[in-house]
Amino acid sequence: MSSKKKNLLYLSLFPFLIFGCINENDLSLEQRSYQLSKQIMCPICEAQTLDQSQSQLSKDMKKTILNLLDEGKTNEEIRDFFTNRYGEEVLASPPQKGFNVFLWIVPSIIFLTGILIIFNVYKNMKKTN
Amino acid sequence: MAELGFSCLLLGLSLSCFGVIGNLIGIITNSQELIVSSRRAIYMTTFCISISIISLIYLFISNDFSIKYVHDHSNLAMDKSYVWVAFYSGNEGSLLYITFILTLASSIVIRFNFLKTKLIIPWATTILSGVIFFYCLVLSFYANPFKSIGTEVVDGIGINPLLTHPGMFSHPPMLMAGLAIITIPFALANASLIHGKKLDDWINIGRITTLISWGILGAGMLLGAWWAYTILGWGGYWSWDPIENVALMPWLILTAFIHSIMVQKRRGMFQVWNIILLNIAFILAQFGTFINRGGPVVSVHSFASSTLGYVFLSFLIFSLIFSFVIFFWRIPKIQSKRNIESFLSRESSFLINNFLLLSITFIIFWGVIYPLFSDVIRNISVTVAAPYFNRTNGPLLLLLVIMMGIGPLIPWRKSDKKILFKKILFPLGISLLILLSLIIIIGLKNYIPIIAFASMGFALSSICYEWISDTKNRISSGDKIITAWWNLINSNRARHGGYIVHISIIMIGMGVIGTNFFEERTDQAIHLKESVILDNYRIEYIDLIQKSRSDRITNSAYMNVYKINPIQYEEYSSENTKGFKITEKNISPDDKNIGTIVLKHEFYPSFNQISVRSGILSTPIEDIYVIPRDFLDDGRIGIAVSINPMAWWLWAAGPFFILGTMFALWPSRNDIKKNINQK
Repeated sequence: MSSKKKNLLYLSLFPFLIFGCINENDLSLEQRSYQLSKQIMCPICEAQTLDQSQSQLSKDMKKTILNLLDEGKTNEEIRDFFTNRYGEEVLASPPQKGFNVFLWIVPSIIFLTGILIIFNVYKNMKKTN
Repeated sequence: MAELGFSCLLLGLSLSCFGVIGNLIGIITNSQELIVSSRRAIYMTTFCISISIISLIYLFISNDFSIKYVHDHSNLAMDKSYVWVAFYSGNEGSLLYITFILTLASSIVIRFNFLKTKLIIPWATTILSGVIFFYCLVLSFYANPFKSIGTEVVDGIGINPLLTHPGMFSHPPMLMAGLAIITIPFALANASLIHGKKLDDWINIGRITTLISWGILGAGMLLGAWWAYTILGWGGYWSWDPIENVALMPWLILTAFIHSIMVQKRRGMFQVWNIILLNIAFILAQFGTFINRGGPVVSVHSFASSTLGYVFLSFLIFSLIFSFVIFFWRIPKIQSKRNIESFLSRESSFLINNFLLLSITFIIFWGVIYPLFSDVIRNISVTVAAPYFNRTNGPLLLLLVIMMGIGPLIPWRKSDKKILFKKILFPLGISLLILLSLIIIIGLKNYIPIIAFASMGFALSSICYEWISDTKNRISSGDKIITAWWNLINSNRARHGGYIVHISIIMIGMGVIGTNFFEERTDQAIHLKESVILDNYRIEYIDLIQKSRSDRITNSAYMNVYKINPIQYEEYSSENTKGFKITEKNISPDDKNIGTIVLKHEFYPSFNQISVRSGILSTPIEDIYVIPRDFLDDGRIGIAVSINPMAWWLWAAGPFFILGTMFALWPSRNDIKKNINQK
């Protein structure tokens, strides 16, 4: 593969890298608890996050989040706390580790395959012209 | 009446069966009589299904609770205007509705197009009859809406209270209709593929039917989002729920199709590709039906769930095999006449548009099926929701918006780099201006919304640039401004209707970025006469009215919204929370009342269900959105107050979306002339 093509490939990975770099220290505890309530599911409701759900359990869980934040826990520690209690299902999307890396890597593969197909189309275009 | 409805279903079943067999034999033996007769069978099926529908509605209106479907989905207390909603609120009724739309659309298309696309119509009729036959089969034997309980019953269970909202009159029937109509272009495309020689005959009617399906589906999804925003009471409008995703995926594929079909229309390329797109869209629509009715995925939209998953899965697999077989049987005979000539051409920009839309669709598809995958392979359940979809699709949607700005500037075949550069200068300048003013004047730090706004500015100004410069050309030849612009957009309706839809997409984009990145939120519990302060607003709790009705207990809380000067309240603010509450005596007299909102909290004892209606004060700049959470024993009300910037634009986009789609669909004088000449 030529170096130009390699550069283009790296460039195509770029959009996936720029998203999701939010510094949690910049946010107030209230904002962080709101964010977490969007990342954790209500275990007894069907497909609703704590934020969406009106159930008593999700209200209690939101209180637990606030308490844990007051104790100085990080977002990741809080997510782990609920994962240990309710299983991986409680997270709105699984973490990017272990088997679940699969979930997060496939989109890049789809995107790159598309890029390669498009490259091929243009290569054929040059040949026929 | 139930007997009449069910007999008509059986009649529809046999007629559609005849439609398939009669057509096939007619084509093989070249018997015109048989082909005409089986075409008429479809019209008769439509008639039978209409009678079935009328009988079911009659059963609802006459409160015949001995019919199971009526018993399960209505009761005496239900307002009669909700019969229309109750009719499709369950599995059986909604399937009957889908079948009706399918037969009606098939009849119309076949009736009014069999002259223009004469050669492929017998095949198209066969495929359509086959799909209708499947739905009649399911209705007759697996999901019979006319099933009787066996005894007389005085009252029914009632309609799901979440569905008793004006939005429900249009959102579900539009989505179902949109998904059902995909079958029409699918049948036309595959018919032309089977026929093998007339690969361009179907594209006009194929494009029109696809646009109709796409427009209805898109408007249906927007209405659903609006309904969720106003009634579900969680402040959002789109949660990447599996059922939302399975409606979005075919829509995205159809979006790709309505772009790439223009390449076939103008340049005769992408013939095969367009058929593949419709096959994918149809199969994804079947996948949606499967997920919706007894699929293995958890969703909030479980209104129509059933145990029929395997029936729809079988049909999904059958359609998959069908389209593969037809495709690989015919594909060796077809060769594209032309190739893309240049990277800088309209064709090429549509190719990239298709690539982005397909990538997004497959990424969503992977997210929908991953929980099954994880469950089967390692026996651990996982949830895949918003964090995955936002993060993986966000960047691609952004690229799509940028393409929306570049694509229209590039001419067909090939373009001169210098001319293109000249054209792109204006939108590029505008987007740079937006970029700099957001960073320097407003002082935004998060780069994602900055890039997003700059891209949307780029796309919008590129449309404006084209409109302005082309209108100027027409003015110089003597037209007035408005007539010049009106004549311009009428000169190519498909293109300029597309631009109007692009503007609506940019408006949706503004709403999405505004609500996702700039939302302010606080949770507070307040007594009567107390206020919550958030940002520039003060929300004062002024009254509570409680009402008990036969089926529900309603709490309505009234609140006044004031625009304030936050500096006057600085001394009461707290460090940890964005919002805070104050008592009556600390109110500043300078506050300006800008409106009153009503928050409703309804409890339905027989369903053990809560329905919450938020109080919303909406302006183009931001919405003040207050959700009632709890009514506490000490008289306090727990509320979540949020400020959703630019949410208004999401709903304002709706009319533009519909207008643009209709404009693109509107036949031009040339089309009508051609039609008359052909006849």
